[in-house]
Amino acid sequence: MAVLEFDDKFFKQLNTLKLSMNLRLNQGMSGMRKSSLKGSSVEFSDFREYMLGDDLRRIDWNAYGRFDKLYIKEFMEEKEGLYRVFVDTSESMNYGNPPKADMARYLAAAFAYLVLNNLDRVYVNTLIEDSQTIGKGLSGSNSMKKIIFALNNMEFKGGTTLNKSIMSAPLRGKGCAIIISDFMDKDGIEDGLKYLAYANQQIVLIEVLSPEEINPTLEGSLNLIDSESEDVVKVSMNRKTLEGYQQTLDEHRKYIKRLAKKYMASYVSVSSDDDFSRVVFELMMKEGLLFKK
Amino acid sequence: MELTFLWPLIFLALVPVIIILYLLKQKGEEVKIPSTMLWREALKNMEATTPWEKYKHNILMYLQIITLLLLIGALVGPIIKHLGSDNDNVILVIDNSASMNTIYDKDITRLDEAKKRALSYVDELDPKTSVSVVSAARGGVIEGSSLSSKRAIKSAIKSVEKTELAADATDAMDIVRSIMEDQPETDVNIFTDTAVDLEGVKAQVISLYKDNVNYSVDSINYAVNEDSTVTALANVTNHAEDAVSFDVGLYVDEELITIQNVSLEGLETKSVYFENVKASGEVLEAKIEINDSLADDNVAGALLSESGGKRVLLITSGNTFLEKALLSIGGLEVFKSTDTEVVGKQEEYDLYIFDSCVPKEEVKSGNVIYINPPQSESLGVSGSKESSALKVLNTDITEYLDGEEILVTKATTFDRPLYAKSFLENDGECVGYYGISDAGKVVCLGFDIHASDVALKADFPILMYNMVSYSLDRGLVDTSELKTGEKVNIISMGSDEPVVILRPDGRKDKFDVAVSRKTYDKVDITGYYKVSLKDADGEVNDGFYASFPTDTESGVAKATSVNNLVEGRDVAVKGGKSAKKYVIIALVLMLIIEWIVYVREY
Repeated sequence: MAVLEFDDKFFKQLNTLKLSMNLRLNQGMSGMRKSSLKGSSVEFSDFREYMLGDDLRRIDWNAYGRFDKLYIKEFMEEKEGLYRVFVDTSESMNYGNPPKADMARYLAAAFAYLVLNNLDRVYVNTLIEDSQTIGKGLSGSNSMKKIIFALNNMEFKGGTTLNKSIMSAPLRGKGCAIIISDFMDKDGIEDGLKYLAYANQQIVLIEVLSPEEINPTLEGSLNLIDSESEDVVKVSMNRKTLEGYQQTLDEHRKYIKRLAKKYMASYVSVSSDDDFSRVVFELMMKEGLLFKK
Repeated sequence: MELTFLWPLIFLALVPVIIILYLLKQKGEEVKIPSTMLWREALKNMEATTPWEKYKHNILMYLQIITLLLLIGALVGPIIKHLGSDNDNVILVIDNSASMNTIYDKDITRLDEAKKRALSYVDELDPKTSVSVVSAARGGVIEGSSLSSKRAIKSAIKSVEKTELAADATDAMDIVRSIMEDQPETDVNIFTDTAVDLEGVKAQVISLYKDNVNYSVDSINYAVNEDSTVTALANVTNHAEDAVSFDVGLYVDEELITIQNVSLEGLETKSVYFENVKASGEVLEAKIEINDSLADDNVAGALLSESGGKRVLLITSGNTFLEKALLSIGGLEVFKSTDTEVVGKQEEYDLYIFDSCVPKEEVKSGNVIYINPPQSESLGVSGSKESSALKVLNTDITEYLDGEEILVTKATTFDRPLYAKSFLENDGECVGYYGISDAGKVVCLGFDIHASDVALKADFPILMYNMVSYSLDRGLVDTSELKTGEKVNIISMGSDEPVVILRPDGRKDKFDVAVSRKTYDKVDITGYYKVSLKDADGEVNDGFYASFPTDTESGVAKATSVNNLVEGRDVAVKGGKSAKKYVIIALVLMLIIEWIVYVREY
């Protein structure tokens, strides 16, 4: 697998952006993200009357002087957000010029970077066959190296059954699940999305297709071999069949978009030969996934 | 639909080749793609929209096969057999010869069927088409010329009458050709049952031939025995392939006298003898007593000669050769005299023979043979030649003679009278002639029999027999037996009254013989034609029997368009309507469709 290059430009353009995830967390470790809990941060939240057992240190003595009643000053509890980036590492991702895997990894890296910048925790998981490999939960900007290392060592081979693969690991706590895949799964992805929604995950679907898949330029009578299943389809390439393919691709995208709506997920489709800046500044921002600081 | 050429069908072998090439092509290049999911889905959707979609990837192959088939179709030169015509001018030739009277189907003869087909052909014609109708018998008769009203055309077709004449459609080709000189673009349709020599005319031959069972009586001859009974011989033929046995009846004046059974193999001819039959009457006929497909040829007849010998007066100073020769001819009562004075003074004779003499007065009525006449103006004697070789001409008188020359020591030459015809010549000069003068028949022989080499040859009695029988055949007609379609000469006998001919069908033809003889050419049905002349001198009766032309009409060959080998095929092509141009148009259309399909990549 080609080693990805992450230069300054890559990080600089990401530094201007922020993930727009509205996670109201009540679990997990402390972090920089506001939670629904009251806690010990510097952010003021509310007043309430003193009750027996409350910490005496948090009594607002100024208020007692004014109202002659004991009030407790409450502050926001700040938690760290949990982000799970699922990268589809099936063989099919290895195709395209440039390979879809490259775009997938760049995107995974970008999301991880943004998450880490926000002092949240990120897991980079790979979806393979019926299962997934769960990456180490990382936080802190120093962890970026580890993530890049993990991405560069990712192997794209075999097939993936997205539904089973997503559902293969238990999820705890609210979070955000970013799935980067080509979604070429004949069983669909609805079960997986249903599972993620049930697990209180905000879902982001990033579809990565190669330019050859978006606009095929095949000619003549061909035996198309599926890279994962070795399945053969005999196709005589002509205007009609190409039109039929385009129509089917549109239908497929509409299907994913419909599912995204159903499970309140975000959906972005990118081509592996898209300029990365365009993907980030145009597509992601348009979808509302990212915004400028 | 007919095909002109069959050899292009060999290209049909290319059809499997195209299919194999496509099958080989079908293997296709193997391309690995990320996922076939969408392709599979796309193909499924396409098949769902149109059930034939799955065949669609081969549409070019089907188009190419169709194109190849059309190309082969164009090469084989298809002809659509049809009755309509593209041309503005049409000639319909209807063969109405004797063979067309053969039963075609049930009660319909071939001629009826030909007319029926011609009528339905006319129904299909464009109203503007101009049609000429020609019947083939009698050398081709135009029944209707350039008719455009369908009613007139149909009436012309219906007016084609059956005949019992020996003919075929070839006889009408001269007329067809002359019509076509004015109208070269003419469709010629020939309705016939036998072979036609189209002689380069582009025509369509509509065959009405069918294998039929037919038997015929070809001829009947007889000899009178000493006891005045008759021995008759009839020739019968089986024109069918299978052996047959049937009765042949002998009739005298339509009264059955006797019957003989005859057994014939397929295509066999046999003679049937009727011996010692008492036959007194006018007409002797042999009839086949069995039904077959052509009834007209089941009878043949001959005229019975009058009983009693012919009276012959020989005036000679002595000629043994001549006397012996006359004695050998049966049925003659020969009277001899040395005196020419007896002529016209005593009773009349049927024939006068003058040997080396001429009567003082011309014979006013009667037939005369002059042998070696002395100088006589009335006979046209012009001179004489020594030691001559006389050339025998091919005439009725010289029939059956073996020798081509007669050597004589001296020959008398004649200025041949207008009525006469030469049968002997020396250096182009007439040495013997025969003919019919106002008084009767005259035969003149210009050499002395004693001074010739012929007297000792077998040719002599034959020559004498011919001269006597010609001269004695004294009647109103010059022959007593002929085939239908042949002509007969009617002799006036010097009378101004018309000759009446009673035909076998009961019709009477009055025939005004202004000059000494006139040809009667309406012998178109078989049977006995009774010829009579009634004038102040009394009534003379004669007749002749017309037989069916069995040799040409009883067993006709199948109809084909016969021509020379090179043209024959072309003629056959143009006989029908060539579908080649339509096939080529379809071929071009197919190529265009193929091109569109290829370019648009369906």
